Amino acid sequence: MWSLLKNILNILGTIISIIFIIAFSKVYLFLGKLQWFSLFFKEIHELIFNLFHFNDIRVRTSEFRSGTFVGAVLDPYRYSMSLLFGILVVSLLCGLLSTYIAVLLPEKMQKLIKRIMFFIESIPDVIVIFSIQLFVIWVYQKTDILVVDPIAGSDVVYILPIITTSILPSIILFQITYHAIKEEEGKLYIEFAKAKGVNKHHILIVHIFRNVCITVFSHSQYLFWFIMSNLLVTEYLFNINGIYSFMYKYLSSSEILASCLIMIFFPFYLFDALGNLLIYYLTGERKKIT
Amino acid sequence: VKKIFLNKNFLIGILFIVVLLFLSSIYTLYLSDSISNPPNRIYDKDHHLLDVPPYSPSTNFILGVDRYGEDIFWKVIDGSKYTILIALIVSFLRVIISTLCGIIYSLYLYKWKMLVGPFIRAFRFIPTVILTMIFFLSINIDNTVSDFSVVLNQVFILIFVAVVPLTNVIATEVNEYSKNEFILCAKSIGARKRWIIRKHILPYMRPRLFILLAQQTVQTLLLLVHLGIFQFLIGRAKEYTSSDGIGSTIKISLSLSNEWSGLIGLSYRELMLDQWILVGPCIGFILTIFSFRLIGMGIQQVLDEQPKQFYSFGSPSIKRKVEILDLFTLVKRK
Repeated sequence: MWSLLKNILNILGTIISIIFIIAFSKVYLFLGKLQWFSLFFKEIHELIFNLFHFNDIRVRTSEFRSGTFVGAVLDPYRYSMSLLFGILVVSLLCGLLSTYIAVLLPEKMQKLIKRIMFFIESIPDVIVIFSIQLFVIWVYQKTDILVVDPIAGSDVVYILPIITTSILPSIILFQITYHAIKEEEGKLYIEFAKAKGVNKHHILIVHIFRNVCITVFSHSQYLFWFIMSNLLVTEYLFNINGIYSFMYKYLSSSEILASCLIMIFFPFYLFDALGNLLIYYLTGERKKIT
Repeated sequence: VKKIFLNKNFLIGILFIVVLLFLSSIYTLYLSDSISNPPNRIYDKDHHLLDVPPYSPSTNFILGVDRYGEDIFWKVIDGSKYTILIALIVSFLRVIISTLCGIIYSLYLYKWKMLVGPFIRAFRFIPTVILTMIFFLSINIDNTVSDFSVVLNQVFILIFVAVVPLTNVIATEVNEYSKNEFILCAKSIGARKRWIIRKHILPYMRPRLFILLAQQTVQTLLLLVHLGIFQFLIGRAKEYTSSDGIGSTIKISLSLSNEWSGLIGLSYRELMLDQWILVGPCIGFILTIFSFRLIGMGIQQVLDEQPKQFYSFGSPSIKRKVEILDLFTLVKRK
């Protein structure tokens, strides 16, 4: 009961903080002047009032028409969330699979792979997206085969944005998992299992992965956050009508921004809480949500 | 400290940055006059027009020439000092401010965690790019302020945006560290918080702060790329009208300082036309980020090599004494 109340308080506190931050950004210019305080409170008051009547927020959908905010935001929201889910699944799969393969390789190859991964990680996601788009177009020019649609217009594309956005998270995941496995490998029970003649794959999958999962899940919140902030750039560069592009379009109206952020916040919080629950289930230790 | 300069990764990283900065400042001071601009038109022997800017990369122009007839290679070199300096200043101030806040938060204000926690979470979860953009927007409304104060405000925003999450990181680190036995001992003997900060926490944090500095520089550079994509520039953009012959005029903003994120963001349209215009600043970004990460990794490696007790005893000489004492006691017991 207490934990439920705590969760609700947490969510409420975060929502209020979001409102504060947005209101603060609006009056940032007047910081240090006399009227700043009153303007700030007026802004907050307006924002909260608008949020309570979020059914009445109007959005201009095209040049001459306007629609309700709720009607306009649902489609992009659904689209973005499915993209997010896809990216999460793909990067989890890729990251874990590549670690599994890498660990089985000989030492020298492992070092080489680590080097390459380190270099790839320092390429900004924007440039990754650029080069993949160019690559698809180049393939199209050479062979006349359009493998996947490089840029979305009014229609819905999934494959390419999911692939491009999950490259960097899977590399991060690879490094986390790889380090965790290397740490785990030195422990006594692994040596014991080896000495007993247990199969290499069996040790890896059954014994090591189970323990490594804890470390991976405790980092997964960071991963989720990373994916979310990259999704913004992906949506913009692929011309996707997702929630982030929606936010970017209405960047100057604070009530739309606030309600979008709050909408994105719920799955984020849910994921946080689920991750904590999972860690609790696996280890019996309760990690605090920060 | 000496060991750091023997580390290969650290050396390569810092050498690249220093050389780039040096070349860049030399360029603006001396070279920019002596290097002539690429020709406006290229003719062959019979005075047939071969090419007009943008030229594609060739032996004369390594990275090509952009639409306005400027050599991209030198543009990138020229812009590097602004980009790197902004990133360094921003990350330096970020680390300093958030270290102060983090130590204060973890030692004095941790009772208010319930209140501060949601605020930090809100900051952490709003994508930094969006946060920065809404602040930048509110600056751009006012047209009367001078260029310099715009840049100052923008740098301040870039710092402010990351301070809150970073404070949290440092606060948790300090909190974890203060659970060590020797700090508990010091406390029970009667050490004040100020003493603990000065003698235990700061020596422990110092090398880690340098790693954090390198990481934050990378973060700032990434943030700059993203801002550039959304056409939010450091400084004010120069509006530039060009007509395409048919009569319609397009407003093009040119970044004033050749700053990299501006170079990328403003020529984003060229991606489908002449890709090499974008390649230059992209390479610059990749190499710079890579070398900062190398620096961070180098420091990390040096730290990992050192024995763990090092920090708990304050200085290596004391530790050696302790070891000798141990030997003596062993001998005596025998």
